[in-house]
This record gives sequence, structure tokens and C-alpha cells, in this order.
Amino acid sequence: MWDGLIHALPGVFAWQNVLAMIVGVVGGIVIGALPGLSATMGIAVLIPLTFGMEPLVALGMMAGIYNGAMYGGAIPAVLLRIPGTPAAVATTFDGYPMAQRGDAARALQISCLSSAAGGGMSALALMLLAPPLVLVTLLFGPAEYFWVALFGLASVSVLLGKDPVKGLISAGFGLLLATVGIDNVSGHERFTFDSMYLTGGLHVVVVLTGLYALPPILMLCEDAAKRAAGEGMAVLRASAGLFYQWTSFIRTWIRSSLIGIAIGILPGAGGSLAAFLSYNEEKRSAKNPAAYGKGEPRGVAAAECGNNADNAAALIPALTLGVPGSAVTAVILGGLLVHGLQPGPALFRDHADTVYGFMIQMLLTSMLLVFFGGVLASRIFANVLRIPPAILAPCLLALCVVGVYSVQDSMFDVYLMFGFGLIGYAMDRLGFPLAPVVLGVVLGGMAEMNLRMALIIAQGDNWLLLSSTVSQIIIAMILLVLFVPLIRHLRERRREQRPAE
Amino acid sequence: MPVKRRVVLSATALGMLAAPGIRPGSAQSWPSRPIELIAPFGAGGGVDILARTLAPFLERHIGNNARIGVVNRAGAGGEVGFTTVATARPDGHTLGIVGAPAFLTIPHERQTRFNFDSFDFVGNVETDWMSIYVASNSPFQTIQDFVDFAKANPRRITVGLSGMGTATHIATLLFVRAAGIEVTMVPFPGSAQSRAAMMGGHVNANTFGVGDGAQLVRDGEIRILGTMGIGRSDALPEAPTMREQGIDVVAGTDRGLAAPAGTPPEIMERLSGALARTVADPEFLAQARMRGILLNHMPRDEVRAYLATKNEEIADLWRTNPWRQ
Repeated sequence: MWDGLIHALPGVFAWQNVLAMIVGVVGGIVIGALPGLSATMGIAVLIPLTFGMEPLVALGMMAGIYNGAMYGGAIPAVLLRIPGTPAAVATTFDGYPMAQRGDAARALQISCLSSAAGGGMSALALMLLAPPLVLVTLLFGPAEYFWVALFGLASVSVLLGKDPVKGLISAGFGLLLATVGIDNVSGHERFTFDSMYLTGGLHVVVVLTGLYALPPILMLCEDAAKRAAGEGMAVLRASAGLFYQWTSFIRTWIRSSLIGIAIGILPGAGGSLAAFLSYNEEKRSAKNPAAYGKGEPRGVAAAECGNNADNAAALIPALTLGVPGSAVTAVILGGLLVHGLQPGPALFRDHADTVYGFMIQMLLTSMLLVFFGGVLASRIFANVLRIPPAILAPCLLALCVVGVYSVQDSMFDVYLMFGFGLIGYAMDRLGFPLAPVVLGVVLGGMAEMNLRMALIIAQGDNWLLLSSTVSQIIIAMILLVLFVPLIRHLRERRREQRPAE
Repeated sequence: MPVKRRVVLSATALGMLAAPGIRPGSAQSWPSRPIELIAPFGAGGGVDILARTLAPFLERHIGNNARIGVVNRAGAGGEVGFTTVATARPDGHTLGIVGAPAFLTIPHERQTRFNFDSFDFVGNVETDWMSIYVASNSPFQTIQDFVDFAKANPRRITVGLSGMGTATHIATLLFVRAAGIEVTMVPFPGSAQSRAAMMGGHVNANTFGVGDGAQLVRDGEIRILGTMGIGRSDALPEAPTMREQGIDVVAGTDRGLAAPAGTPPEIMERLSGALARTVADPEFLAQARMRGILLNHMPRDEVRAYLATKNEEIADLWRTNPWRQ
């Protein structure tokens, strides 16, 4: 392994490959920052262009796009409360309040450093621990995935907002949306209204862009009417520098990286779950949980570190077993196949220079994020807030339409986005939180399908759902997440009542 | 009412105007504009890679300054793309990659705007044979072990699929029918999860293509019990077919080039010639090999009969055992 890594180094530092990584990172940041465009699409479009390239040039660009886009999603999440990618939803919770306070640049720098930290840790795990970690992947079958999905859904409690009833209604709406499409187990069409465009289900990017991007745009429009032309929206305070107090995030980064890596090696879960769980854990273990959601820098750090830590780890089952953990890794796998690189143990033997080179590129592109994301992008992108709403709103709308159209080259998706935009606007105005909807869409299908597969496999012996050690550990974690806050709450209430007795 | 009538009238008028356009003259002037090659699945996948590998060679072998643009029309398991091809103007400027059994099963399963007769097939390009795999530590060493156990314990063996109505499902249905056994089929949301569940021992077996499994078999990660090929696969020549082992079943995925039905015969002839020259082009063969495309060229006259037989087979399966009520 060390031999492989050292042998691969000269190839990685050839000038074409360095250039490819830089192009990839910058391109990825832009792709991630634009609502509707995601790393999956960026890499998919890139693949035909790489047909004639050297494998490491192609892979360097893919690594750059992958890591860049995961951070890029944070930029509009912080500035405008529009997550650029599904994994950036949790970044809005504290990132946007920070920006409103004038700390946009600071929030972007924290996002960037945290993304780099998470991506770096994840790349190290890929390089050094792939063989043992892939064994962990194999411990998870449908029953275990069902419990993982439930664990994710249990974290909904932190997303509920001020009014738990409204929060639960939002989550229920999300779960309902997840049922649209052909039921994979029985083959029935559900809520498709005989439209073939709905048989494949609702694409999470379409729902997300509608719910999250359109309401702020509409509000910008309202704002534009009130403000004089030429006036920007927010005060921008100068930031104290990229590495200001970075050591205070080390604990957060370690926790979130571990969560992100754990989610990454499980096929099917993905970066948004990693970000939600990291945020949840950060808030749960914090001394000041009340500050979260109001602009706590550690919340931003946890979410961004968690979603980038998913990246390289998701490549572990993809490279070693040919089992891609997400849409992005599936596309990257396609990119490898185009260059004659078949996943599996032989990949590490027969194409060691390329595959170890790719791992190093995953690490290096995470580091490049610090420079291109932190030094350049934060400075440039934070100025978006200086653009008058009357100009910004139509630009954003055009970007959303293009982005959503490009997901499946479908106008139907664009109309759907507008529909969800109106729903999102109404929900926002009526005080229904939007994050539980996204969580429901992402995890609803995963929970349902895995439960049903597990029941088919159990063949009537339903205790099998609880039989494995992994299942039991996850169930214990679910119980902890659900009941610890309740017990803490009851104890506090008793303490408050005691003086009165 | 008057408004409606006007709409109807003008539509008829338009139709009359358009009528001569449907036969845009001779094949000599074809192609008069860029040809759209519809890939009914997303960018970066196997169908997309096939389409983009084919396009430049088809351009070269059609001649006449032909320009081909690959257009991804993904969605609904290929239905969106198949519909786009089937309903396009049959003037040779819209072609598509159609994949069997996907484009054959969907019209049986639900109301669609296309069926088998909506296409004119230029030729088959790629075939991957479906195969039965088990984990490397499975007690089943041969397909005979598998069949014997299934006969003694009906429905006890779990077989992971990548969804109902997919090629993996059709192949498994044909296999159990040919072997006279019953198994429990577990439809996963995709082949990746299905494969991982088999390697982790959560399901006993899996059905998927030889092309996808060859490397893992060579690495000793999984074991192949037999392919459902007519002959052995180039991807893994050491793997025996089911037929060699006494189970008469042939199943796979086929990807071919098609045009909407009604495309002028002269144009179909020229397309079919261009495809034949493409699959004989050494440069194309080299690229296809590197990208893992399992070539199985079938010319125009052959492919229609081949697919018609497949369609009958699926219709029969659907009649006897509809996987959706």
C-alpha cells in the first residue's frame, strides 16, 4: 500500500494532472454553488470529454469536481439560505443566520476549512483503511439499512423548529413525496397520475430546488420593491482571516469526519444524511445547544465537514467491490470503466499507479479547496450580497431553471420545481420548517424499501430484523437519540419545580 | 365551440401542410440536418457510453457530412427515451439506443405511447448475458447444488435483483421456470446494493450480467454458477453456460440502434450498412474493448426476429406470472 502510494506520487504531480485538479476544484465549486447543478451531473457531463485523456487527468478532474461541489453547495446555503446541493441543507441552519449578522465571509471560510478537513480525513481513510472498512460495509443488509434510515429520521427532532407539530407535518409531507413513482418491490405505480414523468419518482434535486430556492427568490422580489435600486442587502463585516481560531473546531471536525466516513461506506445513504447526523450530534453534545440554529459557527463546521467526509469514503465500496454508494460514485465508476479500470481487488494490483494516484488526488483536491474556496471564493462570492435584489432575483431564477432542467433534460421537472416553489413559499410563510421535508424525501424511500426487502428475506420469521448485532447497536442509538433529550427535559423540569415545593 | 373548431381546423390544415414533409424526398439528401441519437438513460451510464462511442464512427460510415448528436432522455426506466424515439418524425434524423428487455417489458406493464411495432431496428450492437452468482463462501459450488437445494427447499433461496421488470428479474423468472424450481426474489433498488447484500451474506444469490461480474469472479470475490448465454461470453470465457449444464435458458440485455417505424427503407439500408462497417472498424473495436462494451452485432433482418421472439417470451411470462396485478 505504502509502495503503491509512493509510486503513484510522480504521476500525480505531473503538470497536466495538477492543472486538471485545479480546473476540477474550481469547476466543482461553481457547479455546487449553482442550485440544481450537482457533482453527479458535472462528472457525468465530463466523462465523454475524458475519452481521449490520460486516466489520471480525467480522474483528477473528477476528484476536483467531487470535492469542490460538496463545498460549493455551502456558498448559496450561507448567503441566501439556498442549499446548492442536497447535502448543504444542514449548512443553512447556522450559516444563513451568520450571514445575516454580517459574518458571511466568516461562515464561508469555516465551511471551506471544514470541507477540506472532512474531505482530507475521508481521503486518508480511503488510502489507509479501505480493506477493513469494506468489511464493515458488507455487514449491512436490508434490515440494517432500514435501521440506519430510521436513525436518520429520528434526527428529525432537531430540525423541527419552534413548533414540533408543524415540523412533524413537514416530515410527513416529505415521506409522502418519497412514495411517488413505481414501487420497486411490487411494481405498482403510486401517485403517478398516469404520467410517465412521475413513474421514476421525484428527483430530490428538483424538490429541493423548488422548496428551498424559490421562496428566497420570491422574498428577494418583495424586498426589491421596498428598496431603492442599487442598494445591496446586507452589511459585510471583514473576516478575521481564514485560519482564525481554527483549533477550536478540531473536536467538531473529528466527530463529523467519523460520522461522514461511517455513512460514506454504507451504499445508498449519502452526503445529506452525513450532514444531518453530524449537525445533530454536534448540537446534542454541545454545551450551548440553544445557540444552534441562530448562527453557531460549530453548526456550520459540523455540517460541511460531515458532507465532505462522505466523499472519499463512498469510494471505498465502489473501488474495492464495484458497489457505488451514491449517484456520484456510480458516475465516477462509469468514468473508471471508460478507461478500462474495472473495480475490484485486481484494480489495486494491475493499475496501482492510477488507483493510488486517484486516492492522492482526492486528498490533494481537498487541500486545494482551502486555497480556491477559502482565499478566492469566499472573497468573491460573499459579494453576491452586495448585488441589489432587483438584479439578483431574476439571475437566480434563471440559474434554477437551467439547473433543474439539466437534471434529466426535462421541462416537466422545471414545472414541478415551480409547483414546489409555491408550496415552499406558503410553508415558509406559515411557519412550517422545510428541512424535515428534505429529510423525508431522502430517507423515506430508503426506510420503506429496505424494510420490505428485509421482510421478504425474513420469509415470515420477522425477528430476523432484530437479530444482527449491527441492528441492535443502531436500535440502541435510535433509542438514545429519541429518549435522552426527553429525560433531560423532564429532569430539568423537576429541578425547576423543586424550589416551588 | 367556435374556438375549438378553429383549433381543429387549423390543426388539420397544418397536418396537410406537414404531410409532404413526412417523406422528405430521397435518401440522397439524407441527412439534411444533424441526427439526434437518443440515449434513454443518463449521462455517464452504460447506454450513454455506448451511444457516445458509436456516434463518431456512425458519422464517418454514413458519410455525406453526417453529424450525430447524442441526446440523453432519461427517466421512468428508459420509457421517456423510448417514447421520444417512437414518436419522432420517421425521417432518419432521430435514432435511438433501445435496450431489451426494458423496451419490451414496459408496454406489458403499463399504458405506454409505444410498443414493439413503433420501432424499425437498424441492428443489435451489444449483448451481456445474465448469470447467477453466489458469494465466494457460499455452499453452492455448482448450479446443480443450487438447483438440488431449491428443489428440496422451495422458496428458501433468496436471489437479489435490481428491481421488478428489469433484465435481472426476467432472467431469473426464465431460469427458475427452465430449472423447475422456486426461489424468493428480492428486488433491490439497484444492482450495487444487491451485489453488496450477496457478498455480505444477506441474500444467497444474485442475477446480473457477465460484464459486470467478470472482474469480481476473476478476483475470487464472487462465484459464477452459469451464464444464460447462447455461447460463452468473451468477458469471462471460463464461465460455463446454463445450457452446457443442462438448463435450457437464454437471457441477457441487448442494446441496439433503432429508428421510428416508418423511416424510409433506403435510409434504413444506409444506416444498417453504416452500422455494419462501424462494428468492423478496428479503431471502434479497440475502443469498445477498452470501455467494456460486449459487442454482439446482429444485422437488420436478424434483429427483428430475435427481438420478436424475446417479446413473445416476455408476453408469455406476463400472462402466466404477472409481477404486478
